[in-house]
Amino acid sequence: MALGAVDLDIEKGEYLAVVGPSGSGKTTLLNILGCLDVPTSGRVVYDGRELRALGEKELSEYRKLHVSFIFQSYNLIPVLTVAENVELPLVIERKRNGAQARAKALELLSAVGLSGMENRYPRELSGGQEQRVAIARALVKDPIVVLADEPTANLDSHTAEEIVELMKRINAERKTTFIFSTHDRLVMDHARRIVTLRDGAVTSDERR
Amino acid sequence: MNTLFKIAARNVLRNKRRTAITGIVMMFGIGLYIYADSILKGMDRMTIDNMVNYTESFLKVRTPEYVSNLQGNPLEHGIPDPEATIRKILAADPTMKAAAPRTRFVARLSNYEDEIPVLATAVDPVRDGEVLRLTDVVVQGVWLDKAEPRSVVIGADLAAELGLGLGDYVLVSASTVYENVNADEYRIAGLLAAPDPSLNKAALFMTFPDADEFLGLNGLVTEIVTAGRAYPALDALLKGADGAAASVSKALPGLQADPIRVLAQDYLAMREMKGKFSSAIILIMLVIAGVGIVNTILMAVYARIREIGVLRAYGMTAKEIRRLFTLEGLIVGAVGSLAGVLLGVAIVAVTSTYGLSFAQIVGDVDMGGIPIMDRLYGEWNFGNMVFGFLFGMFVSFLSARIPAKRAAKMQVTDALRFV
Repeated sequence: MALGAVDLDIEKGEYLAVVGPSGSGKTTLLNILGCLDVPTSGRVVYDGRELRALGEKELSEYRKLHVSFIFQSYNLIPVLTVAENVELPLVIERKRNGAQARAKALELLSAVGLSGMENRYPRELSGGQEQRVAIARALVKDPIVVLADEPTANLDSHTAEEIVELMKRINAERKTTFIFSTHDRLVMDHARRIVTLRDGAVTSDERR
Repeated sequence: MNTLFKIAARNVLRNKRRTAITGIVMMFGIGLYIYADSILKGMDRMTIDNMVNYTESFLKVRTPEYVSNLQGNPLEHGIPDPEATIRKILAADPTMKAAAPRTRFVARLSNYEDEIPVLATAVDPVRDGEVLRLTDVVVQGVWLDKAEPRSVVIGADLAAELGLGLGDYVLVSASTVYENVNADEYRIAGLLAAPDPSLNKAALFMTFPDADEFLGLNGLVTEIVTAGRAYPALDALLKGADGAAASVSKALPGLQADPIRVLAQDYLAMREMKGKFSSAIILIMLVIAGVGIVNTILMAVYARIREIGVLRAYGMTAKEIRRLFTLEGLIVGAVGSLAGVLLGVAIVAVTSTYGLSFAQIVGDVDMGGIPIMDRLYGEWNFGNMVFGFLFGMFVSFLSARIPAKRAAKMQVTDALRFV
């Protein structure tokens, strides 16, 4: 069992890091919060709704409208340009037309400092730039929660610091909830709450 | 442009080699299908045209008794009052342009040393020339209208077989209407080299007065051959002959008017078998192309498992993932099918303009009496080109569904973990 005794309440607008050694269940916890995985027992309640009770279609809907993900290895779509990658969640969401989606994508690219790079392809970017695009993609649909799995793991320390600052600024400006899984001391230093996992159980929950 | 289509199209382009291989297989499958269909249609057209122009004619009028005893070429079931019948035929349908009497009988042709069985026909040389084009294929000497009495025109191959030439005398023997065998001597006035090998190898023509004297026909006519108006397409020709035969039959109670479709039924039945065989070969090619598409899309699925995970994580449903990969298969299929149609069009354009030498295609093989010896021209069949394209798309759709379903079934976390 990857996760056992976990009892957490997370408020809107939190900037929370889940830490712990490899195999402690950090990614599993994030997957469950993002409805990518379903817990075998226990409850996950989001805004008063029990997520375990949702069907496949409703889970897709929840992911589409409320949650965004930032991955360790960025996972941009290589055949799409930077702007098209950022627009992708809006395309899946189908709430905006093409022009509106493009305007929103450019706004986010500007917010992450990538103005003028919208027509480049992921292969033409540095690791830090790719992660910025991934952050813009995560934020473009104005999600309530952003789940970031080791977002700085593949970045050098200078770029990692820039990314952490960026996410912190967005958290402050937009009140978006950020939940990280991380080993990175830098991320932990900026977090306002640190939940430590060991062998699938919460061993500490520290607020700063 | 729809982003899903963009992703699909760009992924197809990203894997150029895979796409190209699958597309090329599809292209050859569909191109060959169109080519084979064109050639078969061309073969039909040529065969039927040759039958209409040299042997059977547009439609043929005979007595039912004669038709039911056709193998024996009986001389006892003649058409009563052939001249009145000819007038009625020409009046029965506006498509009828000319008609001529004929009497067919089995004979033996001898050079005084060897003899060969032949299919002999008594004709009215002038009127026969208005219906059939035998005058055009007299390669040596003259047709019977310009020949002396007691002359015959025979196939050039037959003459070569017996070592005969123009002006030579031959001995013809046959059963008369009185069922005794008669033999007489005739001079060769002309040699035929028609596009129909059966004429060249075994045909003999003589005039009605000579046949009357030889067989005691006394005006007996076993069949009336006819010429209809010109039709640009084979289907129109067959339908036109069917319609005319119905009108003529109605005007001639007690006689049977068989259109070219009936007269060529042996060929058409054989042609249908060949059509099925070539369709089966093409189907196999398209199945191979289908396997190629399954492979292409499966490879695309495995190469992009994490991408699938991201799309699912961002809320794309399994159905939309399936649609995305199906779309990729359809794009490959559309490119391959379109290329196949273009290849087919190019080949048909060449074969319909310049033709193919039939001897080059089949060599010296005897085609079992198929009346084709000339150049074979491909026929345009636009309906079949559309069918080829749509069938290619259908195969692509079915082939893409298998890997697309697999992609859609993938667990999101497994996909994201995939390295």
